[in-house]
Amino acid sequence: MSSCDAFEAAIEQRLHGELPEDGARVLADHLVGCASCRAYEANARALDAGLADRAREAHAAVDWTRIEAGIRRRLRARLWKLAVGVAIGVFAVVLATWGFGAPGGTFGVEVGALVSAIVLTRVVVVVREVRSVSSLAAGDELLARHAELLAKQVRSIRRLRWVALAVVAVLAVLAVWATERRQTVTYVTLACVVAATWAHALLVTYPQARRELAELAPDE
Amino acid sequence: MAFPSLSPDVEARILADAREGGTRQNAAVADVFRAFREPVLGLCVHLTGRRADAEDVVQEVFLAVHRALPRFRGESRLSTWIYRIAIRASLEHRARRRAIEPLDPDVPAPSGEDAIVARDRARKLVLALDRLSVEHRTVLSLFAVDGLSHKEIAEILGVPEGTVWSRLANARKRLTAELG
Repeated sequence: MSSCDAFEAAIEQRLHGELPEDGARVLADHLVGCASCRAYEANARALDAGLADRAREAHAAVDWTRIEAGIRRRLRARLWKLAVGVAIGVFAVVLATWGFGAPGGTFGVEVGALVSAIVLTRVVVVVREVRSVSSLAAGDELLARHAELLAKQVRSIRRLRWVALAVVAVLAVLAVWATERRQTVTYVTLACVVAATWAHALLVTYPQARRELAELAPDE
Repeated sequence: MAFPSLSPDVEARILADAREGGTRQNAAVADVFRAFREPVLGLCVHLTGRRADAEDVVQEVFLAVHRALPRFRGESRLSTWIYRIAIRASLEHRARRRAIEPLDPDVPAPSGEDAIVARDRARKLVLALDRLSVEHRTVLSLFAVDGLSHKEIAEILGVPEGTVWSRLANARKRLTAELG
């Protein structure tokens, strides 16, 4: 720590109107004889002005009506997705119930299970998102906590990629061995859903999480 | 321009409305949007580097607020929670963008020689800010939001109050070095 570090922190306090009076006097005395701290203060003022200008330009140019409309549009889209999810869930229950009574087959149960699995996965994702946002109010260190969660996500995807691949392989084998066409269709559909989820996690979520993590914690 | 903060009474009323759901929840989120849209935009502009991205992030932030506000239990000030959401959303947005394109700051087109110099300076500042570590960029961006005290910034970042000044001074020196 150089001898001017404490004064630089004091300069920051003064620039933001939070330096106590006695500290201001000590700083003023120091600034008289320290060219480096005077330069630091002048530079800090210029940088603050530059940042303030940038924010002012953004405020002047922004169209709040368009942003509000965008939020409303996304909210409506979310409601539609919810409605579709509920409809699919009901459909899955109907199919599963129908399958129990169907002579010689459990096609309804299989399709019902498939659709329920997709809907449940989506519900879990949404609930986790809401919980994650709600938990941001807690007072832990934001960036460290975020990095920790990202590292966990990266590790999970790394670990689960082989499990997902194995599940796809098993489903493919089951599809080949299936005696009825409808069972083949079910297994192929399930394999496609798992493969698509796996591909999205591996090709989109994983690189994005790694990029974020590289910014937050370069040593991870 | 210092942004207004909501009084504890107003915050309590907004939270009560949000928990009611339906139109009262929508009205509560609208109140939150009006109170915080400008400081959140300012913060996101610095964190993402582009106004267009910042506008997207603002939408994401208030969608997240709409969804999670009824579950918010008041463990912190409402403003603290919203800024924390905004920081996280900005980081996620940056990571998504990096896959497609590098930063090209949307600094307004100038007219006149002084304006060209100012534009060049603004562009350099945005690019230098973009090269900083997340920790440094975040602390500089939070201090650039008018009306946020160092106590609030410490609370948003979840660090001791004494840490924010030294972190700001270090970020400032790093930014100066990046500007050459």
